[in-house]
Amino acid sequence: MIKLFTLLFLSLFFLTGCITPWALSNGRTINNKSRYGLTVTTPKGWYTKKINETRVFTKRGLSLEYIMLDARKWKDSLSNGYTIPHNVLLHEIPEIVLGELCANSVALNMIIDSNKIIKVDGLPCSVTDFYYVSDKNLQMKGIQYCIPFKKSITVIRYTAEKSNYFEKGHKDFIDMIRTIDIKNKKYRSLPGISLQAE
Amino acid sequence: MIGIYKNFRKNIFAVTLLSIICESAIAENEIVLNKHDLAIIDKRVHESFEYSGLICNDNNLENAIYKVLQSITRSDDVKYQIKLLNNSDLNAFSLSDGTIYISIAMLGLIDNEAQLAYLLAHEMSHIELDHHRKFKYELHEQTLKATKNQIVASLFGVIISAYDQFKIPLAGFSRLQEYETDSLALEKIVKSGYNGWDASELFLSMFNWMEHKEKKIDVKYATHPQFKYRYEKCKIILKNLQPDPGRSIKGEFTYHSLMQPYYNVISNLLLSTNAVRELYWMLNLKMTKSTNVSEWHYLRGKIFELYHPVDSFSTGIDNLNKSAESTLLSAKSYRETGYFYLKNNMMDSAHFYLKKYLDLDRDASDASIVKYYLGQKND
Repeated sequence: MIKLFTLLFLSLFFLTGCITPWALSNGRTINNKSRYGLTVTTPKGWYTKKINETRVFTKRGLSLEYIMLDARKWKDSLSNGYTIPHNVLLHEIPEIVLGELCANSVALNMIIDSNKIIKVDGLPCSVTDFYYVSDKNLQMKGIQYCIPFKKSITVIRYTAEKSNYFEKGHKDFIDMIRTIDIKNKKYRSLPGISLQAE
Repeated sequence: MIGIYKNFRKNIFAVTLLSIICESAIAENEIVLNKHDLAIIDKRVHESFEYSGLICNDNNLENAIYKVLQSITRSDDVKYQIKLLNNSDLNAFSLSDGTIYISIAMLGLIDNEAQLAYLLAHEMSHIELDHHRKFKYELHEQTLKATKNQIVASLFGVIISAYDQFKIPLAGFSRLQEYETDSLALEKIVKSGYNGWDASELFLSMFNWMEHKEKKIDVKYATHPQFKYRYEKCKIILKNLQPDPGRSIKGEFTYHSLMQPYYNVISNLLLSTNAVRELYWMLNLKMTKSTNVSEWHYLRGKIFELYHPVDSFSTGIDNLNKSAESTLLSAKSYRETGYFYLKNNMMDSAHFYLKKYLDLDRDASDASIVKYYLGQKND
């Protein structure tokens, strides 16, 4: 009996050691220029975790709301098997990246509400508002920022349940976007976009 | 501490052994559901599709399909209902309450009425053979791995919601059940006067479709048997069932003429999901130029613009120019022509066509993007 308890205890000990816990974000700056190409201040009071290479933030649970910070390498296949064409236009990138959500059945009935090009810290960036139905049958609303760099596209996406939760976390997300500091301005040469950072 | 280290290998071995036991316990299994559970599952599936907005309400198409269904059913025990899904995946499935869901893309792939009858008969056979209730499932490599990990984890209290993980294998019937259904479906349609040989070629079309898919599903992860094996099996059954493979097709309507307007819808669905190879295949085989010349040219131009801009530049531009001849499509054709030139760094031509687009559609939702590119040109 003691052996069995020892076995269970040790197995639990072993397994919990393999799991990265959620940490409370205290507004520190993520400075991973090699991966994201930028530094950004994380929203205070949100819980954060690194899932594979993706940094995720949430305050009320991943199925209700999350902010995702990730990078997609140009040459690599996306999780839906597609690759981003070499001469893609900036406004076409968000749809291709969002296609991952649809193909993985995380999002159904994806509707892109608006798509525009703005400047973030002097560099062109596509901003996309979208809606979808989640795998938990919730009507979701999201905003996605895509900034192309030499090696990869940095994707910052805020998604939340549309009626009750979107507005609650929206301000924190916008505050986070305002703190973006692109130190490494190695912008990707895209058709139709001036290469020089302003 | 030394004790822990000494026992470490033993413990790892014990955990591995436990997971193997779990594996063997669930690798082949049968779930028998009661009517109440089935009703709940059906209700949830209906609600989920209604909510997702994927349901395509088209009485004309639904009625035509229902007529074929009536011609192969002899039982009034089940009240069948057809529901169409606005989905670019090849899919058809049934629920125990008699509802048959078919994706629009699946209808696009079908060549004739016999194949449609076969598809319906297959789903009806699942219901008649009570597969929804006596649910045999196989755990294939991927689901097995996922389930095993979650079971081991849930045993140790790390993940409590094991139910969510257990539903993974509930995604499809077993391959044996699929073969059983294929045989019964063939029998049904042959008895109803359809040509089984024509019908079985649906598997060949599905095989070709999968070959053209950009992202292929690994055979070992598939819940259904491979299409080529199903086709071979059908041929064996048909040698006894319908020895004369005559090409007469029973059909009150011509399937192609019914479907022609929908090939357009399917093609646009494929385009919206970036399924460009499938779209190319659909345009070449199904959506004939005679149906909607401008739309056909537009979609072809769009394919070349998206994925072959350098090699097929002139063909793509030519197609887009031809589609611009249609008043309905001229604005977006100009826009795509502009983008095509932009991608090939021909800024003056790009500027010319993008301006033309804005002149035609000043309130376009993407006007700000076009203006951005025009502004870049002026820089």
